[in-house]
Amino acid sequence: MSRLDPPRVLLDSTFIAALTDHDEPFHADAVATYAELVDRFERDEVVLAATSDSLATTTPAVRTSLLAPVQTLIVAEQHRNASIDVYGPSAEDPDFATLLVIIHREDVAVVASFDGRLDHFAVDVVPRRPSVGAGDRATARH
Amino acid sequence: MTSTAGTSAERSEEPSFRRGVPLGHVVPEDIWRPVRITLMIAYAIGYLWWLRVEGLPIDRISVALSLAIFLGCAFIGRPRHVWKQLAIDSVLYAAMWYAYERTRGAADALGFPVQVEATRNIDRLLFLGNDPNVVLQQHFWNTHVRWWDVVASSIYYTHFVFPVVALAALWVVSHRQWVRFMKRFATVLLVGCAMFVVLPTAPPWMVAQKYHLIDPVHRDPARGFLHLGFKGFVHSYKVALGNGNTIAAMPSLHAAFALIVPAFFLPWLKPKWLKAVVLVFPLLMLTSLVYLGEHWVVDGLVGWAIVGGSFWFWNRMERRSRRQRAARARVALAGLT
Repeated sequence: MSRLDPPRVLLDSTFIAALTDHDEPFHADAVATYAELVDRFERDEVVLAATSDSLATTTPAVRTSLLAPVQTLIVAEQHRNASIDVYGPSAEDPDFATLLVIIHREDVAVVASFDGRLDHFAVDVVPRRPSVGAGDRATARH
Repeated sequence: MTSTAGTSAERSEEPSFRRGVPLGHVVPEDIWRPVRITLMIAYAIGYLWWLRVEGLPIDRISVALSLAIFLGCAFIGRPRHVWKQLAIDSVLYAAMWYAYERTRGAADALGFPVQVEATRNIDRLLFLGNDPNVVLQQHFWNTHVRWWDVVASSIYYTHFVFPVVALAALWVVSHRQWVRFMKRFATVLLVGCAMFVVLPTAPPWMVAQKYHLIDPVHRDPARGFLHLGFKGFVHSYKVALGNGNTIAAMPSLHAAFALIVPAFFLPWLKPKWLKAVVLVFPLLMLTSLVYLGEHWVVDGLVGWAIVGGSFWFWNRMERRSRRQRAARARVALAGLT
């Protein structure tokens, strides 16, 4: 990805889980946000992506229907190796550390996520979370 | 982002503001990145040295080798799946050129009648009875090389470098854009080859020297370039793919390639004056081709039309693909709510 491409929006595993599972507390928000993202995808304003790890949790049917506009970002050994060296509060969770590596190295412009831990970092997130109490949501989900 | 959940007061039209720790502070940098940058700079220096000492690589094999070295520099240390993708891309890229060379080489042996007068007549129609090649050479051609010969010849030679540089840059910067460019580029080659087969056309210099249907036209496109002290580097085993076709004037791929690169990057150029400036290049190319006796004006116009058609077709196909994928997602979304 580069400046030649539309901004890349990464759907993380919390977002995909909320999108695909009726019982998830943020399902309605995920559906509304995704509908908006799909509109923007159709207008070529964004590129939608998800990591191979996140997509591995979905069925092929979901992948070719609901997530048809989403391209796969392959998580390579390099990303996993780099995630070992990620420090700070994210270091305790290898998956989250890997997500940070992907966001940083693969030029992700925006992350669609319900993971409150992203609030600690200079990352653009949709749907927008409240500035107060973000940690509560992260705590609630992790 | 527009409002995402009407019932949720905590949502906003914009992504949450970047106010936390920059990721560069917690994520280690890719240690291969400076290596790649250093190697690419070294490559650029080496290429310029080669250009000066050995000449400009212009045959397909030399160009392919120089491109392969560049890609090696640009992709070193990248993940395995990226290399795998690069290998697939490279095979397709090489196959495209191989098919092009073979078809172009065989085109003049397939028995279609050679167009000798038609293009001349069209040019005469466009220029009120004048032959543009003849008129330009009568006014500007001299036994001594003048500055415009250098300009025309240098522009002519950019054909062997310009599209390849654009392709290489896109290969490194954005695979998505590389694919978009290649679709358009391959289409131009395909249509060009088809026309070489069904419409073999003699270029102006041949019509003048062999058929004597127009006044004399000199043919020496390299002299301005050689005057600068440069030369064309052609590896000896170019002979292995030596499928030159002298009656492949229609369409002009020189003119087409000179347009396809600026046209592709046009949407990213914001100032209108800059758009206008880059579009001067294909005009200069066509003028040079006509002056050098390599092409008729109509060859260039048809080359441009093919580029236009290729962009039109692929823009449409890409929009359609996005629409279909979005539609599939919407159907699934409707099932969720």
